[in-house]
Amino acid sequence: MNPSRVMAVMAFEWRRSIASRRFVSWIFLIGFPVLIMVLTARIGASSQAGITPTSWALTIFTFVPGICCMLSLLLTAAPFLQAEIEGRTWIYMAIRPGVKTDMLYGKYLYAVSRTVITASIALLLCLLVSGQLGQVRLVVVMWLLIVLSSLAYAAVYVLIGVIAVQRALVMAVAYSAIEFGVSFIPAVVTQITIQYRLRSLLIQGMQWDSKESSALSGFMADANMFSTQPWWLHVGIMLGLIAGTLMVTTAILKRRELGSLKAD
Amino acid sequence: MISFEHVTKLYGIVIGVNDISLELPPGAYGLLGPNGSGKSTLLNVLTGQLRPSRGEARLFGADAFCDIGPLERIGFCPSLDILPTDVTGLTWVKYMVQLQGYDEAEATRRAHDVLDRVELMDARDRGMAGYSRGMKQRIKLAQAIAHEPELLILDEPFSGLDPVARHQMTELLSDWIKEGKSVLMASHILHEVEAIADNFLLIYGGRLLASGATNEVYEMLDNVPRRIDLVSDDATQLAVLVQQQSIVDAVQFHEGGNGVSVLTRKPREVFQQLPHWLKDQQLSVREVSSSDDSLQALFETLMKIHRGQI
Repeated sequence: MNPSRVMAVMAFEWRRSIASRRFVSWIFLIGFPVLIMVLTARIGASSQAGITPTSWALTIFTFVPGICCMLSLLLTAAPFLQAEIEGRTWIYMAIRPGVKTDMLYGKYLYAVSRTVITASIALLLCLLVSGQLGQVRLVVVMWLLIVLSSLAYAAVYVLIGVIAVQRALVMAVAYSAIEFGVSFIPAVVTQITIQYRLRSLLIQGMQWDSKESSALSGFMADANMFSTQPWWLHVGIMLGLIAGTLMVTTAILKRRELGSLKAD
Repeated sequence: MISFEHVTKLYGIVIGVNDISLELPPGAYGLLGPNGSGKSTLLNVLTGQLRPSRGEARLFGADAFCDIGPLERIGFCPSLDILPTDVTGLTWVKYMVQLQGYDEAEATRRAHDVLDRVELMDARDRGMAGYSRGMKQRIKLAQAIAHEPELLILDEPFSGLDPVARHQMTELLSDWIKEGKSVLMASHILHEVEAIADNFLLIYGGRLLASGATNEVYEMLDNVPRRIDLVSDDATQLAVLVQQQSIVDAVQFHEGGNGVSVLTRKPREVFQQLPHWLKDQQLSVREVSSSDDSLQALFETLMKIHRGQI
């Protein structure tokens, strides 16, 4: 891997992204969690109990490091190769030595950086709407979860992107739906999901004890829904997952005969 | 420079290229074949985009699929004129040079130099969506030669170009060859290749039918009966005249009776002597044509030779 080429790919993707004015997706990705927060605030205002800070935090967690990051990465990371193949620009990359790998990491970093920026803006607006902007711990924990979520889901999506090149987006959406669903099953299987690790880090980062979490809802009280293992173990597992996934993706990309997808 | 040993590429049960063996030292080569003959597959194998199903392809002595090192020494200009539309020509060429391993400053310098060379400096800051086909071909050539490769591989570089743009492209490629660099150019039009390369590789149905210098390829056809069509107001007299010549094998009248078809194994001699025969007999011919001059006919004849039918 050549770091300067990786940065060149990332810079080129950013330049294209800005030049082509792809703002509609940005507005949607930032706007929809904020809209949810506005609706939640309205519901809270009409109820006597109001909305607790913990409920706000869980809602923000679900929609910003969760759905917002996943949707942004579905648009940028999953079709990273499909876009080149279908746009027939892949050949310009593939005939340069080592560029397949550099393009993978450049586009991965572009997807992550774009998602982190998008989700950070969404987070800021959500905190403003919910009146939680002064909660420094919440802000820091959510932002770190945004970064981890972006790195992890982007790694999984680029892997899907090289395995199912021409159906990358569909397969990534299917994976996301399944993963999201499995993460809410109160059983051991939930531990294989990224959501499980993020949720455990949220609970530890916010220093919620089991008593407080049990007050949130029934499923959060289940011991299978989150882990009390130390935070560094969760972070280590996620970083291992990211590194392992990217290594497998690199190996597949190097060996795949992508020329046959558009051969005469 | 390029070595193929019994290379076969299969797409499932479809054969892309079939048992091709060749050895090419540095030079200028034309890869000739009709559409769908396997030219692009051959180039994909050569540039490491496809792994041969059988055999071995080597580029600069290294395995074309497994070893990425030789890719540094080639420039590739694909046939499709599809380019990113949302960036300028300069941005794109600079990006391609950066991907070749140059830092930003050097990439910028090389991009300017090469855009000047292909005469696109005036359009360098325009989005490529507004480029004409000729400009697209030139910008593709620019990205391929910006890093000064030893071997330039071009897939249908004249496709869609108007006569002026064709001339410019021919000049550019001729200058490139004069610099002592190698070229492998795929095309389905004979005269395009003749203008650039001295050596041909003829591919048809995935098979390499013939290779060699221009004269060698034509010499192969010397003993193959070829048809020459003559249109004349006095077809009967003309038929009598040509059938008396020893170098003519057979004569056929045209359906409308306005001319004859001459079958001969020595078409060059017929073309040379025909004016003298006509002058001696005071006959006139309005039109002389040889359908066998077409590339398709050339390939079909070579295919017959290959199958042992001739």
